[in-house]
Amino acid sequence: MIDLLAYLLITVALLFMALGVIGLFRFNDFYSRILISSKIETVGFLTIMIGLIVLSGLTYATMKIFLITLLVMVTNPLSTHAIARSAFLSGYTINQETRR
Amino acid sequence: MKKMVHTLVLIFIFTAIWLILNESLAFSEILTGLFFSAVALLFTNHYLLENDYLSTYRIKLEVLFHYAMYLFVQIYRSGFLAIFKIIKGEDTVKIIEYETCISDDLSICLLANAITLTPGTVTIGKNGRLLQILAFQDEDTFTDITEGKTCSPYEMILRSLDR
Amino acid sequence: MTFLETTLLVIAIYITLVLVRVILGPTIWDRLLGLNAISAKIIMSIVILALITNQSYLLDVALVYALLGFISTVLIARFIEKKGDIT
Repeated sequence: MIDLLAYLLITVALLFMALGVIGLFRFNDFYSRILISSKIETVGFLTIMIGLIVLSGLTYATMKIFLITLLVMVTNPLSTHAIARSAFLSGYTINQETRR
Repeated sequence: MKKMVHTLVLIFIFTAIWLILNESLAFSEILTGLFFSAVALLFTNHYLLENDYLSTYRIKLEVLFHYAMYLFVQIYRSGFLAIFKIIKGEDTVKIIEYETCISDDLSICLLANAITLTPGTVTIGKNGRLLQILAFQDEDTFTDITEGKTCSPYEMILRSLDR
Repeated sequence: MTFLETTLLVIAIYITLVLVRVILGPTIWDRLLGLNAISAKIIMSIVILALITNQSYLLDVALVYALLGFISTVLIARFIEKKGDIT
């Protein structure tokens, strides 16, 4: 029963990640891509990790997975922020690609 | 006294992380964990930070927990909203200048992190209390500085961090 | 083929697709974004692999990979932002 819940969560996460990958190809502008794709990955990552935690029960491995989730939840926004800021400060303006 | 309790809480959290990483609950592991947590705390306090550790990271755990719960709900809500944006293929973005209501520097960093974590908005710059936010055209939680000032629910929770 | 192995296969397909974006991607920031996404997916794969083979030391590898991916992304982003002058 609890395994079924975990499998459901993992399937939902895979769907979210598929949407993130579609988002990488669907948009023409870099800023739209960074807004959609990398953030839907956050939802996918969180969901798949919760699914794996539910699947593996209460062991030390579960707590380690929890630590990894916490770490990625703190560092992932920082790297997205660094990329967006790097593009912004280097003078990449909105809709530059569509004009080209 | 209050400082003592805070230090002890921090040492216990670090020891818990040490025990999880070592995958054991033996007595000797607990002792080494306590020792290394205290050493790490002292070392950070003395050599790595300019100010006092406890005043730099003064976080109330219950507020942090409440904040994390709220953030969890918000991430899923805007995640589902982002699905519609992908299907519609809407791609007009704008840059908002946003002034926060909170003054504590750590709280502002937490807010910026939360903004980046929710799908649909990314912080690209922080200058004092002024944040630059990259968002979609129909974003309404955070409004531009020219359209009058409002506090978002994030800041209402974070405000209780200030002592 | 168990469920977790199928999941691993699907994640591998996603990584290949993101790699296409990294190769095409007109600007260098697109490539960085792809690198970030790939690193998140590799962390997931390592955790799933640890659960399949039931060996928890692989989780330490995932932890270190998360830190290294974060540091490399931030470093490259700052390197481009400062145009090669990091001080």
